[in-house]
Amino acid sequence: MSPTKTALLSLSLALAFSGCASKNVTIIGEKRVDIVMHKSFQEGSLLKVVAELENDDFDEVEGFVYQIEWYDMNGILIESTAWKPITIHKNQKVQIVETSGIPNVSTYKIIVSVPNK
Amino acid sequence: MKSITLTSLSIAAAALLTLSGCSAKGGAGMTGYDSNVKYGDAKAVETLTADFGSTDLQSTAETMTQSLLESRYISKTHQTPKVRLRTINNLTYEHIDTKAITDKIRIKLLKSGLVRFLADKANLEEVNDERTLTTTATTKTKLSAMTDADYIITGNVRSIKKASGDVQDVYYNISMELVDPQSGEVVWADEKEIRKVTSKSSVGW
Repeated sequence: MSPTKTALLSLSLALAFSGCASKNVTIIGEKRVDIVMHKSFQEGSLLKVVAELENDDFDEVEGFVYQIEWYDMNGILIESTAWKPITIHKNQKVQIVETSGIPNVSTYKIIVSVPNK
Repeated sequence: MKSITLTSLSIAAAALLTLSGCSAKGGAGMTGYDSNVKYGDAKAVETLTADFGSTDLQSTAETMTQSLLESRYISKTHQTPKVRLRTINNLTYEHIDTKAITDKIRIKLLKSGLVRFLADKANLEEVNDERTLTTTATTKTKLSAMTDADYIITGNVRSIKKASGDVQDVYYNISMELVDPQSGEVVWADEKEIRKVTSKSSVGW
């Protein structure tokens, strides 16, 4: 395989697995929580999303809620999860994993809502 | 000329009345705009009390559905498995409609297209009534036998409550199993744990 092809393949693989386009993430309220990483995998007919959320505050435990919206290939919202509460201890990361319960989901959006203090 | 002016005036008045027809506050399709009742987000996190609530029901159903869909007995089979819901026992001291949990799971699993469901105890009576009606009052005198379930779903809801001073701690454990009724083998099991802490001295979660 030529070096150009190898480079292109590596780049496309990296893009496919990183999947960290900011359009996939929305933070509502104060930005006291970071979405460090998020990516998706196709598991059979379902889409699985993994995201890592971080509380980079050394003093405060953060309690917030998140929701994932599932979109089809036309960008139409076809399902969303319930808002789920989650707590992250001081200076810790938490991984969340969600699977679309329905087939034909092509993309997702993670919405994090942080309450005002 | 006079008739034209009158006609124009009536049309204008009619149009004005139609457009301003929102004399009731809130606009078209809304009544009781000033009332204290508001529609909220059905999927929002609810923390009014520490009792088993809508958020617990929704998150339990989602977690269990996702886990079931990842089970090889559901996702990696040649034929779509047929499942029958059995009872989820409420072993807590509060009233929990466990049928609401299983119904929600059934809806989600059916949407996935990976599972087929057979009539359960709650609607089997209706199905039998229909079959009796078919054989007695209609022309179709012969009915095929109902099919057997490949798996049944059972489970338990438990809770541990503790209180000290102004602080109350509630722990819920919802466990579910997928059982092969032919062999009695438990082929999948998972649990959802929920902890809720209430404190009179502070507001929040």
